Order: sequence, then C-alpha cells, then structure tokens
Amino acid sequence: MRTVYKNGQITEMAKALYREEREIKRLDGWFIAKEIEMLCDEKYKNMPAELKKAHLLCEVVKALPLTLSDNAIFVGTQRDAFARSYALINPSFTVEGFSGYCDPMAIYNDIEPDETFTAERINKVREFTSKTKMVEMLNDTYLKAENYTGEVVFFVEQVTGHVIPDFRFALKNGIDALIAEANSKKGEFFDAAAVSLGSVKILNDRYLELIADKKQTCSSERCAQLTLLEIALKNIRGGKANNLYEALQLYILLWEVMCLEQAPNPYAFSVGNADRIFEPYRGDLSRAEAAELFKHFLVFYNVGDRSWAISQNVLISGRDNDGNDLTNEMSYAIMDAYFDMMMPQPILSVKLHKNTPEKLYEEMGKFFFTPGMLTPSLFNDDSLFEILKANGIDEADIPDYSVAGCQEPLIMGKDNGNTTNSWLSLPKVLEMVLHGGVSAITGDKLMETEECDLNNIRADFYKTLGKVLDEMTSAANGASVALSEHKVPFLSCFMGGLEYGADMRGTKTQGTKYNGSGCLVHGLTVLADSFIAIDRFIEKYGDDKKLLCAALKANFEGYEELRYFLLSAPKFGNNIAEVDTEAADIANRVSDMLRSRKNYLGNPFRPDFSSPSTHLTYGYWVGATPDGRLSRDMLGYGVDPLYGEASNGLGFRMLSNMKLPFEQFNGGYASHLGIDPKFFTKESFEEKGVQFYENVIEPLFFNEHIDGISPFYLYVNVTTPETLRKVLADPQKYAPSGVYILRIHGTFVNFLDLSPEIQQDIITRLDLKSTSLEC
Amino acid sequence: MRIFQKGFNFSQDGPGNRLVYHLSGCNMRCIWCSNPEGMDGKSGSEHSVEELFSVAKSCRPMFFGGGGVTFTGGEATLQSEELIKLLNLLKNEGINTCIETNGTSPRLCEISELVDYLIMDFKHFDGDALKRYTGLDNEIIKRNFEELLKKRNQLHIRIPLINGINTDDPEAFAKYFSAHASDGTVFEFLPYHEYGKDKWKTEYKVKDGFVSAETLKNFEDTFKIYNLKLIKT
Repeated sequence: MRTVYKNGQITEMAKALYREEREIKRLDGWFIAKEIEMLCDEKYKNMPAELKKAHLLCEVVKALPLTLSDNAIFVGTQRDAFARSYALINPSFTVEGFSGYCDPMAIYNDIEPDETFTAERINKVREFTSKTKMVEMLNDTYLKAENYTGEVVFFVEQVTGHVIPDFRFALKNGIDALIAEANSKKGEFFDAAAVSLGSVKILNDRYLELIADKKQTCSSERCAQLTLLEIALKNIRGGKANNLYEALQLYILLWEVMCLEQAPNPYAFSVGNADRIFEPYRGDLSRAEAAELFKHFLVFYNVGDRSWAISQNVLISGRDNDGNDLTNEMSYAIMDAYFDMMMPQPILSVKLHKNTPEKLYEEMGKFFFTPGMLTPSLFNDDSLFEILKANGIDEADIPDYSVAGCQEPLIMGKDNGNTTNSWLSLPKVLEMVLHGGVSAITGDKLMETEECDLNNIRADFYKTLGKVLDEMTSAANGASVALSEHKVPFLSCFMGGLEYGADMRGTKTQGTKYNGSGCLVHGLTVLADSFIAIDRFIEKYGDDKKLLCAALKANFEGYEELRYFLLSAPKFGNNIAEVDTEAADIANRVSDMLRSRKNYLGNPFRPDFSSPSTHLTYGYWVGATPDGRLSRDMLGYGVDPLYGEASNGLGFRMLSNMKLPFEQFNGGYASHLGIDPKFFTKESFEEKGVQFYENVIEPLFFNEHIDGISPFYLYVNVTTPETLRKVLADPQKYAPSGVYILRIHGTFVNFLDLSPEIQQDIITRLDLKSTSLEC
Repeated sequence: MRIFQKGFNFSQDGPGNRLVYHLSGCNMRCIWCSNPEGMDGKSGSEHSVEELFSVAKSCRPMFFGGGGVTFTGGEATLQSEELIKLLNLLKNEGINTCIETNGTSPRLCEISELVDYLIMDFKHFDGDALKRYTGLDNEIIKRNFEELLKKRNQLHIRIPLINGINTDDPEAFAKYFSAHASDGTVFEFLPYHEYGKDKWKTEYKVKDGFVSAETLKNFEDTFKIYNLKLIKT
C-alpha cells in the first residue's frame, strides 16, 4: 500500500469522496431494492419465508446498480439502504407535524417521482408492499392502539437496525467458514443462512467486474490502486482478512449486505468496539497510516447530502472484567480520523472507567474544545458492567457491550433489545388521571380512568399507569411480531443465528442469546416536579381538584397567581431532597412495572429513560402540568431537569442526578450538559481535556462518595447560545465548510442541517445556568 | 443565617470544588462591589444552621479536589454567632472550611481557628483612603492581619486593584506586607471588573476603574522584589 499511495493521498481521497457524497441529493437505491424483491417474489413464492428472503437478498445484490468513485480506496456503500426521511435532520421537520416513523408506507412519500422513477413505478411497489403480511399486521396493531398513540400516551414501533452485529469471526476466518458452518447444520434457517451469506460473494464478484472495467480506461496510478483493491477483494471473497485494509474492506461489504437486507432505513446499527475489532489487523501500520484508512471507513457511514444513515455508533476504549484498560493504538488512530474528517456520522462514543489513561482525556480535549467539532458520548464501564451483570448478562459477554443508536447498551452479536419498541409519556398519563381520561389538548376521551383524589394522586397515577403499560406492551409486542415477518437470515448469522438456528426476530425460538424490548420513558422530572407541586397545592388550597384542573385546562390563563405558586415549588435538579427522592421513586417504580411486563418471547421490557427529541414532540401533546409547565411546552430531556428549573449550577444538578437509580436503567438513559467553555481555563487542548475530566467526568462517573451505581452516560455540547446564534446568522463565517457539528441525544448532527425547531431546542437546552461552574 | 446566593465554584474560593454561601449583609460600602445586593442584610432567605449543615453534608460528593464549604458575602463574619456554630459542625464532620472576609471582624482570630483556608481582602494600605471608598478604615484589618499571622501559617490575601483608588503605590502595599508575611501567606491581585455594575440600584460611582496590564505587572514585579508569593485563582 505504501508504494501505491503517496503520503497523505489516502486522506485527500477520503475528503474528496465525502464531498462527492454530500452532493448526492437523491437516494433511490432502497426503492430499487424493494422493486427487485417485488419482481422476484413470484419466483420464490413457494419457498419457506426465511429461505425466500435469502434468495431475494441475492437477487437484490445481483441486480442493484453499483458504482465506484475514482476517490474510493474501498468498494461498498450503504447508500442503497437509506431514504431521505429521518425526521430530525429533515429541514421540513416541525414539532407539531411529527407523527413518528413507524408507518412502513410513509417512506414512499419520500421519493420524488421523476422520469426514471415515475409515479406509476413508485405506486406499483407501494401497492405491493402495502399488501405484505407485515404491513397488514402493523396496521392492525396501530388501529387497536390509536386512542393511545394519537396524542402519545404511549407509542410503539417496529425496530429495524438497532443491534450490533459481531463480524469478528468473519474477519478472522472468512465468509466461507461461516457458510461451511451453516451447511454443516440442518434446518430451514441454516439453508437460508448459507444462501444469504453467499450474497457477499456475489457482491464481491460484481465489484471485481466493475474494477476490471474501470481498469480498462483509468490512469496507471489509479490502475495500481485498483489492483491493490482487486487483490484484497479476491483474498476476502471467501477467506479471512490479512491486514487492516482487507479487514476494513470486508467489514464494509458485510455492512452493505446487512443494511440491504432490511432496507429501507435500518437505523442505528452499531460497529461496536471498533478499536478492539481492528487492532489485530493493524500490523506494522503506524497510528497515522491506520487513521488514513479509517477515514474512508468513516466516509462509508455518511449517506447523501445530509448523512441520512443516522445513529450508527463507533466505540473505543473501555476495560475488561479485571479492570484492565483496553485502549490501544487503533483507539487513537480512530480519534485522529474523526478529528480530521469532521463529519456528522458515524457517532463516536468513548468508554471510560476509573483506570482510563490520562492520555485519552488529553486527546479528547481537542474534540470538546474546538468549536463545531464532534464531541464523543461518554460511557462509564464501571457502572455498566454492574448493571449488565445484574440484568443477567454473562460476565464473559460484558466487555463486549456496545451501543446501538444513541445510548442503549447491548451485547455485540448476542443481544436483540428491540430498543425503541415502545415510548411512554408519564406526564400524559398524569393528564389522563387528573382529567378523567380526557385530553387537555383536544378534549377527546382517550381512555377510561377512575375518579382521582389529589390526596391520593400517586396511587391513582400508578394504577392508571399499570393499565397503560398493559395496553402499551401488548401493542409493542404486536409491532415486534409483525416485524418478524421481515426475515433477516444474513444479519442473524452475526447475532447468534448459527448457534441457535433461528432468525434473530423469531417469535417462537429465540435466535439471540439475549432478548428484550425497550421502552423510552419520557417526562420523569416533569412528573416528579408535578407530584411535589400538587403536595404544595394541597397545603395551600386543600383537595380542590376542580381548581387545579380548571387552571390546567385553561393553560393557567386567568390563574397566573396559582401558576406562580406552583412554579415556586421545589424542582428537580437543585439538590432538594424532597423532589429528588420523588424522581428516584418514580424511576424505580416505573422501571419495576416495565420490567414486570414481558415481550413476545417472555423477556422483560427494558426501561430506557431517554427522549431523542421526543421530549419536544410528546411535550406538544401534553397540556399544562401541575409543576407550572405550560401546555404543549417540551418535557425534560431524558433524566435531566426541565430547562430553566435547575438554576443553581452544575454542582447541584449533578447531586440531584446522582440520586437516580441508575441500576434500573438497563435499557439506557439520556442526559446532556451544555457547558460554557469559559470555565476551562487551561492553555492547551490536552490540559483542558484533563480539566474536563477533573471537573465533570470524575465527580459524575467515578465519585468515591457515591454509594450504589454511578451515572453511566453523558453527552455534552461545549458552547454557548450566543455562539450558536452567531453560527446561524453567519454560517459562511463560522462554519465555512458548511458543517458545524453538535450533539443531539446520542447522535452527531450538522447544526446547519437541522430544522429550525430542533436548532432552537439545542439552544434552549444548553441551559448554561444549570451547568455553571461558578456562582 | 441569611443567605443571598449559593452555588459551587472550583478553586476560586478556596481549594478544590466548593459549595459557596454568600451571607447577607456587609459593614463596608465598597463603591466597586460586585455583589451590592448582599450589602444591606435584607436580601436572601433565612436558614437554620442545622439546615445548612445538612445541605453541606449532602453535597459531599461534589467536594472533589480537596473542596468543601466556603462562606463569603456580603461579609460572612457579621453573622459570626451562627457562622461559628456551623463551622464547628463542619469541622467535626471532616468537611474542609473556608471563609472569605474583609478582615474587619473583632472575632476573626477566633473564627480562624475553625477555618482550614482563610481568604482576607486587603483593599488599601492607607486608612483614610480606604474609609473614603468603603466607609471603614483599616486599623482593625491591619491588626487582624498581624494577629492572624501569629496564629496560622496559611493566609490568602486578595487585593482588588481599581484604577485611581489604590493603584498608585504598589511599594507601599509590598512594604507593609513584607514586614509581616509568613511563608504560608499568598497574595492575589483582582483587577477591576464591572460584573456587578448592573446590579447597583443607586449610582455606580467608579469611573474608569480598569487597570492596565502595565499597572498589574508593576504590582506583580514589586511584590516579587519583596519576596511576596503571588497566586492566581
């Protein structure tokens, strides 16, 4: 490779390749894939479903148009699996217009007809898809739950993507070894597995043909590059990867097929612990050389003009079961690649523990303190190891936990967590309790509830919540069972399928070692603040439910004095024991209730206290709440205090946060700090990185005074509202590349690509008073 | 105790990360004061010693880097009865204590016994000038300074530098300090700022108070000549 590429050339090509990708406005590959499946459906109609899907995958791979840029050093794209439809980075997103991304037919509205993709052609595939069993079953599920989902008492969706495939065996032994294993076993699944694995070889062959064509006309310099690529592709066609270049190439091909298998939009697949996966292949490549190759790997994860394949996660560092640090040279090479490329995808996450080397914090400094640069999500291994162990994960599997999507911890290759299966709005449930099941927003009757008593508000709430959870989990399971009609034999091979002989989505036989279903719980702190405010209300006004409900229904218009009184009640985030204890109690009880509900395989639901912008969209459907929050205003983000309510600085906010029962959150949770860079006074990035550790990470994650499980997740944006307003007002000046990266929940986003409402949310939630390091 | 502000600060008001209580009420009327809302002793809210002690204990996880609790103001020693009670409780609990004071309390040496880290302002070497700008002269401040040095090794002296008020004669400061300072005495200059200007409800009387880099350097150089230890927080 050193003789083929000049010094720095690989980086230049990666940057050029990324520029090309950002010019791509249409994403039609997913549609072509669906159309191919439709056209071939008849051919395989008598086959068992799993095997049929494997053959359809091969057909897609055989017929899908392939391209190879002159700037590419690898072949492969995931562009053909994604559509231009992810709400948050869609500039037309509005809080009121958001209706979830669960409707499998909605995607056909995202492809604009043109001469090639005529309306007639699109409609034909749409029509075909609408008649598939999965869509019919999903429609049935949503119909039954529509009273609850319309204004988001709860919401459910089928979960594609959102797992971490384990490609390590394939890299080490080659595809042929996997096929041989599948062939050595008997059964429908193994037949399908062998066929689906063969699709990688078909794809490989097609790329080889493309390269042969290209070599006819390209320059001698490019010819040498293509020959290098050709050799690698031939080596890994059935065999193992011999070096980092081949390992990355094989990984990309596997990923491409995996995404195509469940196109469109299998969001939030994760690479897993990338440094550990690739370090064995680095050989004598230096950190800089490895970083150059990894830059192309990163470009692969960016799809189209807005990097539409969102929430794909790359993790580095972390520890083993004995507490030994697992940071390696590849960890730093990956960081270098990220820093130099500055792209919105994929997400970088760093696993920390109490023995994390100071060097890692030093090297993170430049990420946190360069304006507009991506900032890694941070995970606390010391806590997560304990939590995963308590939730039945075998000790040997624990270091392999990774993150699929934003912050959901799952075991690589072994865990189908259906992480975003269900979504629950606690404040909306409170609204149901207070207003007799009638929406304070629309006046519609959404559910039956019993008459509530303010003096007994907590008991009444949990009683109604139990009913809601029964309905929610039933609907969520309906969505999962519907999705199981969409077989994934290829992906299943990397999720334990060859061991268990079942599709990872199987509803009769569990195809993965671990399985569960997620529930994203919204509005924890609004509910805690509301309970306490009701207590205060009773002290002053007695059990006057009529007065309180009238004020809430009127959105406090004409009840301003009462609202002021309710706002003055203690609020979460200020280290006030009364309300912090309430929040912890709610988190405990809701988690226990969720975990007692079982999914389609009889496994517990996993509480995940996060809200990926849904604190806005669900807040829009919640009327005024007893804490003084106005109707349709946002809910608190994840487990964070509602913006503006924690005004005493980071110290108090952290103290409140630390009282939450993190051991309960095995589905994950979200927490964000907007931090003013002025507090980090050291000169160099390296010193600032250490200062960040000392002032934020160590007290939050590794605090010796905390009994029990410490927090395990955090993301930050180190900036100020003024800075972001300047960037918006004059992007040419402040973001000349057109990219200004921020974090929004677990994922990176280009701030400039976001809808105005999401931009505003980011600015609001910086909430610098709540993170002030000075008083 | 009457408190008008609280929060955490890292290493600005004593070592490590500290819970800082601003106690209401001050006996000086410094015309450059950045917390004028704390002067009259009426702002803020009342809290019992027990309540503040309980909050401080709950904040222990945030006392990293050798941190603890700092009392500032206003002037913390104006509430000395309760302050002493609370400092005693904190000391017994093993929580690091600090006060920031203007040095005018007749009980300062007594309070000092309960304080791990003591920060004292020294605004002017000239008593008449000090009285003109703050309402009090520096007789007791000097006495306290000299007495404290006999009783404790650690002392952190802060000198606000305000153009036209106390910046003409760095040597006069340095000479006085060098005659008394111990090894454990450190000095910090606080160049004038206007962060509190907007909080003044009456006329803000400082005009052109900012000090030049040259003036600051002159103070630093002079103090170095006199072997006085300088720090920045």
